[in-house]
Amino acid sequence: MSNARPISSINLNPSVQKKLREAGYKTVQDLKETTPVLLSKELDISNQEAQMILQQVTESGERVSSVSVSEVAQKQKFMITTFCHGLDMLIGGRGIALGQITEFCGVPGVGKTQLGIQLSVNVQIPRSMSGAEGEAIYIDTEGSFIVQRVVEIANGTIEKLNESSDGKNDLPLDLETVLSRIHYFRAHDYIELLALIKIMDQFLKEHRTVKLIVIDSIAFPFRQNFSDMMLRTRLLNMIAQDLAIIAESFEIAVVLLNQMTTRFGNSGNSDKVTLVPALGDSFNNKCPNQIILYWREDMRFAHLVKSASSQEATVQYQITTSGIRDCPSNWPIRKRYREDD
Amino acid sequence: MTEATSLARIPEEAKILFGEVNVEEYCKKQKISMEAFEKLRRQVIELNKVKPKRGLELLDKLNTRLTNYLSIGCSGINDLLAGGLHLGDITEISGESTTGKTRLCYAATLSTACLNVDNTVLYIDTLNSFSPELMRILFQESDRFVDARDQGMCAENVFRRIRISRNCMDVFAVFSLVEDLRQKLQVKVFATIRNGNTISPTTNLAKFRQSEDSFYSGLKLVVLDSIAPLFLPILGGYADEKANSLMTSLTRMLRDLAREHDIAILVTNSVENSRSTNPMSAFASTTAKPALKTTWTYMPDVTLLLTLGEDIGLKQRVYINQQGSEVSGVPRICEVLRSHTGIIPCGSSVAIRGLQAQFLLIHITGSNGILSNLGIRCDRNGILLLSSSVERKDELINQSFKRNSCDSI
Repeated sequence: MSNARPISSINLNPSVQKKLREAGYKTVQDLKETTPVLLSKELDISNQEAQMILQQVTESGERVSSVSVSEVAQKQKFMITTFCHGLDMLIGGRGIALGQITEFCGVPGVGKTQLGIQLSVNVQIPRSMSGAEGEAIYIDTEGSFIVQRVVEIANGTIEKLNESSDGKNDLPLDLETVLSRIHYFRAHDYIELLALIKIMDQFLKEHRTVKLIVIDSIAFPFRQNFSDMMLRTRLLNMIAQDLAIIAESFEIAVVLLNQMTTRFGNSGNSDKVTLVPALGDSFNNKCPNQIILYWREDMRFAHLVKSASSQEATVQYQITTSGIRDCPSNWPIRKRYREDD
Repeated sequence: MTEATSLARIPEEAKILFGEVNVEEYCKKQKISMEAFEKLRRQVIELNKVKPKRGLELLDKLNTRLTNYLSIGCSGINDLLAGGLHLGDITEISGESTTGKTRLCYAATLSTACLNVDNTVLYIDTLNSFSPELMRILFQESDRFVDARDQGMCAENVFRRIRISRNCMDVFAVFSLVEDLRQKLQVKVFATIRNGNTISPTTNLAKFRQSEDSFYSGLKLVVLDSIAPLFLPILGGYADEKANSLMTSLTRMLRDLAREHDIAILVTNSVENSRSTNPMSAFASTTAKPALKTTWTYMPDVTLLLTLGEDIGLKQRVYINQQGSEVSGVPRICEVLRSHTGIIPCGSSVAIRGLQAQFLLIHITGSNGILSNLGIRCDRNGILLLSSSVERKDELINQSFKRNSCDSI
């Protein structure tokens, strides 16, 4: 009896918990043996309240399960390509995986927003061309989303897709469709951002085809007007948890764009100054996939720092008028930028 | 009144037992006789009594616990843990991002599942980052699992015996999962008893499917990767009390399960910044300590801390593996930060604070062209590593980080 699930492990409000405790209810099993009428009498609450408590108890046992790895492995996975083969290989072979959070960090101008826009367009690539065939949500906190760029990238994408299909299939995408499938949200501060994330599951239930959420950037609202750093850390942890739940339950790719910050005295050496992803270690720990975008000698590089499935590595990419592309193969490719430091 | 005792739930048990009420008044109010009240009190005592155990029994239990362990998949770390993950214990791996916590969990999971064809593992993935592809590559390519492969185990067979949680990303969901596990394990006990022809099974047994039956009866390891995201959103400030109470409840449920059913529990945790350097760590420069604050420090039996070699000044090294190709990397360090099992001299059967081992995450190119990390392995000296033979090992042995065990508390 002693190791049964305690009442305190159910998400009930504290006053109800107290009443239950005083009435002698200790474990979930105790609650399963009672009826709403009996419970309302004992706790001196309305029948309706008692019913809600019992409903919560039943629900709490329902929503989780486990599956064997062989089932997980068999499931078909859709990816969102970046149109840069090197970048796709870097993050697992065919692009950004649905159902997971991927974080891109980088200094201004390195192409985070461009990548975000490219992905919002590429998520719409039809299944017949091994795309995810979904819609995109773009949450803009910096105000850096520029429609002209979206139009350019969308046109570039349509052109590239037409090329690769050799006109065999009619491409079901045109500029208007592409633009209509990007849901743009402008969040001005962290409260708006939090509110948006909290109602996201409602929105997603109404828009089942959404397969990508881009947040550009996650850092911006949290780098101003924050005196209570404890609160900041807790809110960020909460966002990471909410997004992870959304990503898994709706099978959506979540892409977080993050800024960089300067850290002094890394590795015990107080003179050393390094650029690290903003928002702190505790937030970085929550993202299963992390890629740093950086400049070296006027060329753009992407370095995979952390991944659920791939190795640490570095690739080069470029940004053209029509979006993210591979670098021509004769460009020099540097393998390990860490050694150069 | 009889209703109250027939259920194990007695609303005012504390008051009745410890005489906080005026018995006469209470009897009058409840309209029962004093005799009936005495009878009730005896029933309450009977229901709540705890049976004593003899010291010898405890010693026997301790001895089986100390000799029953699972490999974590890295012999150097197994040595630190005095054999490996002890059944019935909670082992915590903490460390910064990319120090190899999840990779160690994979290694432990596969080692357990490959040990024999009955062992099963439950993997609670709170970050939704589980990668079956990586696990397949690890199983198929790593030298660690050569024996298992030679015995005819295939990935399909091994993967059937590893279950991954779904939608289990907040603390209440984990509670539900653990409760579900508890009920299924309890049925397992009933089923065992029934097979021994002593007691008839409960009604639950009918619901119990055959496939699940073998999974839960073979359960040896529960991995919780990671515990930090469950509590960090509710920890800090006004909510501390609630978070701490939930943390304690969850640990207690896990520990009870582990002890009762001989299951090892492996938990990963992130780190937070220690105010200055962390005095618990063997390295003067360590500024990290396991996250989740003071309450959590009492929960696990052993706490390991992983550190990147770079952070304590280790240099990148090149190794030649069996295939003849060069492999490079900076070793990661694993140290025993805390051990609740006591201080016993080296070569003993418990983990000792302050001991360290080095290990390396090895990268190879998978057959499908995807680059993957592969295999974690250490040699007997607690040094290194990898999925194949190592040259220039002598260099590393000079770098041995073993520390005198009398430094412990």
